Amino acid sequence: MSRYFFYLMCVSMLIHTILFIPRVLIDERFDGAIPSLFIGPVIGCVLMVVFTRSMQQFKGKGLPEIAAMFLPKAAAVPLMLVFGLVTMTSGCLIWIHCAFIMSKYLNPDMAIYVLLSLFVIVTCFGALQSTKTVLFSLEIILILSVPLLLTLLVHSIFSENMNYDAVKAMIDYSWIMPSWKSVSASSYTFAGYIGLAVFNREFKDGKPIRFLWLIPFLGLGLMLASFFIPIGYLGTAGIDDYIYTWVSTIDAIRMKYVFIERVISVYLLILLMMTYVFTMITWHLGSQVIGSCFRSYDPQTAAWRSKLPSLVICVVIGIGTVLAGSRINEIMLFQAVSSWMIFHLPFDAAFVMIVFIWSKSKRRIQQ
Amino acid sequence: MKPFHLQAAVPGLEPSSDLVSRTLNVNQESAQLIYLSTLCDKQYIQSSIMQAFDACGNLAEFNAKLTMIAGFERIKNGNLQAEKLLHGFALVVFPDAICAIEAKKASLAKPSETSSESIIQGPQKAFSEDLEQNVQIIRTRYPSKNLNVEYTEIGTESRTQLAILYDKAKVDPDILLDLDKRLAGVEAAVVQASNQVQMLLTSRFEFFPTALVTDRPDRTALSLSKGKVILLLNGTPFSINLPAVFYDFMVSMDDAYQSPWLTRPLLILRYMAVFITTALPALYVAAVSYNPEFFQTQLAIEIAGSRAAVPYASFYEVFFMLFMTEALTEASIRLPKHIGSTATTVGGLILGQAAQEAGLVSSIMIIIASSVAVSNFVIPINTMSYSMRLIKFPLVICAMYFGLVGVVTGIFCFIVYAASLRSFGRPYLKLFIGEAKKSR
Repeated sequence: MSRYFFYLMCVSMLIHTILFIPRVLIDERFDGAIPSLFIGPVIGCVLMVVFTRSMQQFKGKGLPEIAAMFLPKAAAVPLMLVFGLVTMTSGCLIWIHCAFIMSKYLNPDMAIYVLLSLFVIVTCFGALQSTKTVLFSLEIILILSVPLLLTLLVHSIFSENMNYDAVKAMIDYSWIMPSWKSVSASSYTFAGYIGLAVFNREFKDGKPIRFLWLIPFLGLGLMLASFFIPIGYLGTAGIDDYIYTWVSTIDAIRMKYVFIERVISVYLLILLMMTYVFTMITWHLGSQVIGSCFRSYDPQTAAWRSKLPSLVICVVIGIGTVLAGSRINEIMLFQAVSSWMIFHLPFDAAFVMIVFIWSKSKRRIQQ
Repeated sequence: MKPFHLQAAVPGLEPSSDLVSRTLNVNQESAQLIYLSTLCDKQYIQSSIMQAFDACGNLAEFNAKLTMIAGFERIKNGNLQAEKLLHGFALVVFPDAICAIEAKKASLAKPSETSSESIIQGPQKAFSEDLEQNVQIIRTRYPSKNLNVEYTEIGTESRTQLAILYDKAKVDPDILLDLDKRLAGVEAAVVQASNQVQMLLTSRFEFFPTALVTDRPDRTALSLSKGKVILLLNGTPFSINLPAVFYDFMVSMDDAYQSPWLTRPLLILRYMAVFITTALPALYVAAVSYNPEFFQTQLAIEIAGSRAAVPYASFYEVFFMLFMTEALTEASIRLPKHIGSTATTVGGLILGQAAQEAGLVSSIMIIIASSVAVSNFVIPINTMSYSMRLIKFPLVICAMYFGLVGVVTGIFCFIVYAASLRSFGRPYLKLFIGEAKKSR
């Protein structure tokens, strides 16, 4: 099953490098973003390795079951609530961001709450499927969209419009102390391991995940590409004029001999597909973890009674997303994203520490 | 000697004019021979039962002689008499016992050419409509000592015979258990077709087929060797193979018989055809009505130019043409073969040409409609191509309301839906890396 772990990591890396991280990092490009590109993966990968090792101590168990082993119910329920809400909020932020992009580039005549409602309803449908189904569809969609995305990436790197002088100019800013925000943001690329909190239920064989060392390099490569390609296309200073940096960069790429000349339309569709998958995963995580606090919850059955708590949670969060999305504007969204980035790293670290301590004490009990 | 009473001997049997009942007298004793003349072979009854009777001096001896005949059964108790009669047995009713001798007429059904799944070079004959013959075909194609055949009945009224075949060494016992549970739950009155059985066993409202119906004996034998369970229904030249995953429906038997240099690209072509037949109309609506900038400039102008004469929104056009192609497909299935070609000529050539010239649909739309229809016929298994025919309509509706975003949403929904399906406990859509190949 270790390939499913890779898919989880990949989809979160792709989504974060496309949507959030370039924005945050490029804002700080003269204030130490480049060293954070290298520090972030180190922190992210340490957390990832610690978390996967600890979770593998509990074969076939999700976070709710593990918490029930160590904590009384009064302490486990708030913990699960916080964890679930945090994961689902990251999905919400990504949906709002994506809806802004879609309404700007693909459906300019459509009100944002109409688009968001469609996204949210479909995501609820996806998130309510069984854990296995979520993994299977993740696999199929990644297989379909990643080759296209890679083609675009390669095309953009070797395009004649890519100005490597701007990239070289950025190297002058390599030796600056990075800020907390940029380190936190670049470590967020590796946040896909959080998925194990529920998906560990399906990883029953307990074999160590092979090729784990590949992930930091993959992430670093993706981050370098997502940081330097926009700068190469739009210029070190000119990049400030764009809101959606990556989308504007992709819009500058042209494929001369393809039916679809402007790469951006294909790119936006892939982006939408990836966003669907990513939010399906995060909402599945959140709704499963929060749903486990209810008595009628049972992940083994497909009966609608055991799915009811998850459904209610998804619907509530979905309505919240639509309301929030129709009220805020882009400035507020980017402020929210950057404060989210600051908050996320300590939360993840604390959460990984808790699970690490539990896995240690489990080993002690066994000895 | 008391007179023979038909109702007492065969309870529940209504008198019918093809029911033959003859008294056989010897030594003051009498036995009764009963059979349905339409089901039984008279020649065989003459040469076996009558000859045995002729050579006997008393009933006990006759009774003993009957036991030597092939297909002899003694009916001990219960009301199986009528049942046996209806399955082509001749009954000999002794005062104290009832014997049944199988005397069924040889079936006239012959294997025909494969029609729903033809290939160029490879086995050409399909199954026949006779169950025994079909089991014989499979036994000759798959002569394994592990091959297990079980008979059961399905349908409360029709009592259609159903054979369950599997390779005992390879089959997954969970699937057999699941199958037994589902067969017990079938409540249909009359069951006559394999597709009907497939639907009764799986959920009726599934968009995709989760059991594979084929008329090819070679595909069936291959499925057996992969550990699948085969159902054969009496009276249909098809076998039901289960479990079946999505990829099984995309594989033609030609793929096993030809070089991979040829078959792999053909497989890719089939998946592209699936994409075209499901998504192309929706993409057309979305690109024309929402995002014309999607295409290269020349192409966009070309499309807009060909739509210049069309007075209404693109989705009317799409629905109009899709309706015509679907109607044509339906018509050419229902019509007698000789009139069929007229329908396609009138409908396809004349109507399409005229509609385009009248400015009711654009010429690009005619190309799209025909490529959708042609791509649909590329899918090897008929049930899957029906599902794909269906799927394009929700996608067009999504495209109508949300443009390209709607198309992607629809595709996402169908992928998640297909991944959520299970075929007898097996996942329907995922990558089977490192697992035994389910077909080929």
